[in-house]
Amino acid sequence: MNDNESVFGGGAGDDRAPDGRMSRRSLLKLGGMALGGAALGPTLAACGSGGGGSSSNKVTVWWNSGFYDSENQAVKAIAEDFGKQSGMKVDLQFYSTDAIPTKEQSAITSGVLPDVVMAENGNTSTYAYQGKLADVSDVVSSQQFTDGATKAVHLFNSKAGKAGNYAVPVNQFTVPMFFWKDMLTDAGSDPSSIPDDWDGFWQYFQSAQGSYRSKTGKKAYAVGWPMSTSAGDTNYDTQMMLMAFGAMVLDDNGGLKADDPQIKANMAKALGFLGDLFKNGFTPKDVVNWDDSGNNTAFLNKTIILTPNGSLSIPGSIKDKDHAEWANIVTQPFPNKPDGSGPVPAMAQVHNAVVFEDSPNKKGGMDFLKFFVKPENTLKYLKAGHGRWHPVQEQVLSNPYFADSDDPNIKVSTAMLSGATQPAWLNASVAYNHAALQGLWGKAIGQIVLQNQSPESAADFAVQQLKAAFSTYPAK
Amino acid sequence: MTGRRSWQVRLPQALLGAVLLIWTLMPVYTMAMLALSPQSQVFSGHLYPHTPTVQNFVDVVSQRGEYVGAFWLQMANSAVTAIGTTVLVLLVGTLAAFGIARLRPRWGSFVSNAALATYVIPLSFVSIPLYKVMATYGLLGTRWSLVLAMTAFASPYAMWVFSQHSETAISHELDESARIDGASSWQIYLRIYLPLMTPVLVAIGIYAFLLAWNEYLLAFLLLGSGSTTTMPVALSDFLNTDNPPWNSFMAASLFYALPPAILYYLFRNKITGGLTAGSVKE
Amino acid sequence: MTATISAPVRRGRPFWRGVSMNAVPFVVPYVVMFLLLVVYPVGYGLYLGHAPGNYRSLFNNPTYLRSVVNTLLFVGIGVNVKMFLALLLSGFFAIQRWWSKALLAVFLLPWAIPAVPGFLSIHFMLNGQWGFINALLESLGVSHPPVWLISYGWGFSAAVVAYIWKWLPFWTLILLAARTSISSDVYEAAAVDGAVGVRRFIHITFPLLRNVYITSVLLSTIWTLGNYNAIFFVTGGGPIDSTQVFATLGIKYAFQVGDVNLGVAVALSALPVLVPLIVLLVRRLRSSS
Repeated sequence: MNDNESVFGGGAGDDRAPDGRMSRRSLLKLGGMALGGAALGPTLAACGSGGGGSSSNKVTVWWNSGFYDSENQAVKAIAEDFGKQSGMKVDLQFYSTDAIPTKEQSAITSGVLPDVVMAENGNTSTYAYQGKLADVSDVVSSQQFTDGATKAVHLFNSKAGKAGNYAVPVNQFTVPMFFWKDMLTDAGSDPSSIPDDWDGFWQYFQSAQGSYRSKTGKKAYAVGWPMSTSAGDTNYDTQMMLMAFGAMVLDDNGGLKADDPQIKANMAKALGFLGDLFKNGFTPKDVVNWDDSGNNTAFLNKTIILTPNGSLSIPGSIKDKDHAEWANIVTQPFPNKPDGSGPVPAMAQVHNAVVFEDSPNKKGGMDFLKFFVKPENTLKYLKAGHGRWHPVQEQVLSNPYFADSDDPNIKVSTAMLSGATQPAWLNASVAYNHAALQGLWGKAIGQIVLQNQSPESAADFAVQQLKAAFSTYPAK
Repeated sequence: MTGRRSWQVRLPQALLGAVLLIWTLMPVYTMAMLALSPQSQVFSGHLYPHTPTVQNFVDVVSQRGEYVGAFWLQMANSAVTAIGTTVLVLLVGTLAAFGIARLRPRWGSFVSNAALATYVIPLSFVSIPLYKVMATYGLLGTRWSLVLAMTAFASPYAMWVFSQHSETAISHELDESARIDGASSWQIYLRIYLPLMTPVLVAIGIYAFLLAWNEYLLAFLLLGSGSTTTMPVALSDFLNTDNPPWNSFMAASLFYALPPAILYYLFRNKITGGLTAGSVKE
Repeated sequence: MTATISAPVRRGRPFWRGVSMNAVPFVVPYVVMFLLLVVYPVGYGLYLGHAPGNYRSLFNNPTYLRSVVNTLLFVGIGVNVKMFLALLLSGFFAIQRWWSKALLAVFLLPWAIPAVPGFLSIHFMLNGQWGFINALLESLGVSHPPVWLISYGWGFSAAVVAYIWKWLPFWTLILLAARTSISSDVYEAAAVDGAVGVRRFIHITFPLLRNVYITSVLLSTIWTLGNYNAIFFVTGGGPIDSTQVFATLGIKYAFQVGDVNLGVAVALSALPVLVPLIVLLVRRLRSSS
């Protein structure tokens, strides 16, 4: 091939040394170009209009999109009311549960921040730890929040060297069990006589699987228990299972207790129990790959009889669409602990909203949140979500919609959350949160069910991961 | 003799053809089957839709339903960003390729080397920094951010193909004689270069269009929600629900796949010709 | 490439030298774009990922080490199998009959179908409970078909196969175009010398295609190193993060776990492989002969 055919018609003014390496002159030019780029960028930025908008007359709010459209409509209505009352323009944007943590992280990295973010799976404790969040004590003290919710937003800031109120509690949820009454009836079991002792409860559903299959010819599983590294459900559900077996990984102050041999042994029992569900064929094998909608989808399509799930989103999603099917779904608490020492405490996970230290309109953001957490507004928002989330304000909790509900599902979550509760460990410790989001529990369970390791070694692995995280994020 | 021979050739050919058809069409069939299923049968594990319905397509086109409520807006957003990228890539790419390959400045090879190095940086590796710089430029959330990012990363390939093509398709003597007749560089660019480049312009135009039309990661990171969302991002949101509407997801996807498919079938010969311009000449 | 700095005068050279400044306005738009949208972000990326602590923690992280192996396997197997199949298929499609043309039109569909629904369709197809593949296998009498995506081997293979499904048509087209541009005179001359069939391919066709084939492999390798969609939408990186590659793990660490610097470090750790490849490719493309 001759010169004329070479790409970009090299040849004339070729800067390359004959051996093809870049000459020094080229390198100098490259350096010059790099400097040029580095200088040009910020210069252009200075001329740019600034995407965030720094006017104090505008509040930018990023809100986690609801599972139901009605939820988003309610948030929109509240934002409009706030806009009318305050004279501020509210730029309200919805992002899906999976998308909003990414947007939030991008915003923090780039420094172009909204004024408010409500992300269900946001990394609030990490951002508080890094000193990125504004102190919102003003908003937190404007309502009487439950003790659990107040505690869940009291977060450690390593920059300030102390804890403070760095988030506003928005709602909370726990993890009940859901099952199909009609599937049990089809299996020839009596849905009203489910044992509440641990072994009896699981025995009941496992034998229902066999009889359901032989009577209907359909391949359904007793339980759908999320075990993947990508589903948030895995974190909630595993915490419930660990608490059932007395494996209290954290102490009341968010410190790590997992190294205690007794707790480690209990952890192995809990993980072993989940491993057996999988290995004995009582849960679909796909559970190790489920995303957040995995168990909901499998349950609503009746391929599983029972599933644990955070919030009441399962019955809520069909309440309006198909009332008969809705009535077929039963919500109930976990069975009593395997050692017979009473009920499993309910995990209370709090969703929160944050304002950033560098938000262009911090005051506007806080005013918006203050408006949002007013009982009448919160109630509107929670009702639009069919009560799948539970309130965090004492005043809303005592509202008959929750305190004296005629919805059997809401009744159960009210009962669970007014009994013995434990904070979600995700809320309680930044180190735990970090480890869990890297897929700690999905990996530990996966080692048992996919790699045939013993529950004891999986527990060892989990403890080691937790210890590493706690050394990266000391203090709380 | 010839009969036996043609049988020996035809049978393996037919078998290979059948394998290729199955290989290609299985995922396409799954898409179509889901799009034709009512919600109650999406998860039934059937081999074909037992009660096929076109309702999903009707819902998408008439924007009925939570996830397809802004379908046409999202399609329009995709079209605007893809067309914007196409125009910019063609403009910036032909200008630069003409400047470097035809006018041959001494620093030309340096620019072309730097450009080629860009061409091969995987986009996903620079997605985070790109987010940051778009924020710095105040472009975050605007269509420009996506169009400019796609253009920057599609242009080097365009320049490479343009240069290759022009070297074989346009003789330097033509430029020279035009110049002797008093034509300026701009006149040569407009009157000689561009018209003779038409086949590759079409090919690269389609390449750029498809690249932008399909881009998920940057569209997701750089564009805001709502009014500027493009189809790939909107589609991934379908699955964020209790009971993902896979049927309307696939119905919307099939509409979304139509423009690129049509483009290809209209311009297939130009695409294949253009993209390999000069690459095997000896 | 014979040009050297010591050979200032070449055919037409004085003429071009005279107009060299003319080129500036033509090239400026691209150069500005290059500085603003390539140099600055890449520099910023290097800055974000510069802390050595990130790399230390990565090298102690089994998920990361697995992703290194996965990325190499994904690229090594995915690209080579794909390109080899493309080479063979380009020969098949070079039979220019009505039926091969029709088949080619169908065969190109995966290329035209956008990646997100294409890969999600494959993901759905492979579901153990309601996927089409297992429904088909069961109807054919296989009693316990594998649950594809819960095993590392099947899941990873599925992602590689999905990637090949998506990109095989494009490269087949490229090689087909290269083949059809081989003049029929060459073949006629070869036929006179008795070179037909496999011998023709080895002695005539492949040597002519070698150049475009190798360039395509290099290009495809570099693009595939950053592939995100095939893994993310087919396996989601699962089960237990065992099928993550650089692109998916980097994005996961940066955004889901909330550690941008770590995420960028994952991407940057590909540089030792990426840079030599880029240098090789640029040299090849510039002096493709």
